[in-house]
Amino acid sequence: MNKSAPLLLSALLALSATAHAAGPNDAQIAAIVVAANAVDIDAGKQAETKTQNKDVRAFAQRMVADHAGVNQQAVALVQKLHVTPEDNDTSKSLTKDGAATRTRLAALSGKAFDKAYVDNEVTYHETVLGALDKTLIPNASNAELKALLVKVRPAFVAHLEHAKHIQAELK
Amino acid sequence: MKTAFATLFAALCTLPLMAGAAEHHVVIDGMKFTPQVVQVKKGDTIVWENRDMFVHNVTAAGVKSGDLQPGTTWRWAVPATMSFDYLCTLHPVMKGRVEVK
Repeated sequence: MNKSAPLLLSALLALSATAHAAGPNDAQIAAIVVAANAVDIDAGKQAETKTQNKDVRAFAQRMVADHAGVNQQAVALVQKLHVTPEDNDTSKSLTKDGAATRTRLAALSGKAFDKAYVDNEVTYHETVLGALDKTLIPNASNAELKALLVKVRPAFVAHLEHAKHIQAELK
Repeated sequence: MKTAFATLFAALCTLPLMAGAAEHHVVIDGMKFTPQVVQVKKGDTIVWENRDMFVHNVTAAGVKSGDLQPGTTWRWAVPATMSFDYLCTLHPVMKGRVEVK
């Protein structure tokens, strides 16, 4: 089934566990946000080249555009705040797991690819939403960073609903 | 100050008379159309304002805003008395309704 989901989940669960001890600081949160968006942009780009399904293609194009938009805002904000994103275990795991998922999906084609991509998108958005609510938003200390995380949250909800809709269509 | 108020008051009084129709604003933000249901009359104008950080659109049969970049607006004059549902085709979970009385 979806082998990358447990990997992503474990990365973000580890993040939650860390958060209880000492939550990520703003520089680490920035790195996590950028990594999480980059993973979904890369997944979307892969799907754009592989899928033959117009709904999956439209969704993938939207993920690339919207998550690029989030990262543009995040990068502009950290520059304004003079914060340098600080790579950490969570951001590294996200990047590594994203690459592993793309390798796994590269071997698939047709409907099998579409299902695997969309299943992964559902899990990804659910997991990131959980991380936003439990870890990233509560631990963000700069008000503007916190506001940006709150502002992007509805996009993750809308993407999740969109992905679930396509997931149901593909069944 | 008084002059400013008087000018504003005069403008507010005369605008609807000049236009003969009302203007309604729908804000697009946080992946939502607010208000979700806008009640209008034939000849009114609806202005959709994209305050979100993403591109959106307003789409229904015969109603197409095209891409609305962040920070842009789209004005549309209500041509008929038929109510309709619309959506953002880029984010199909975003839905709204125009009710024409």
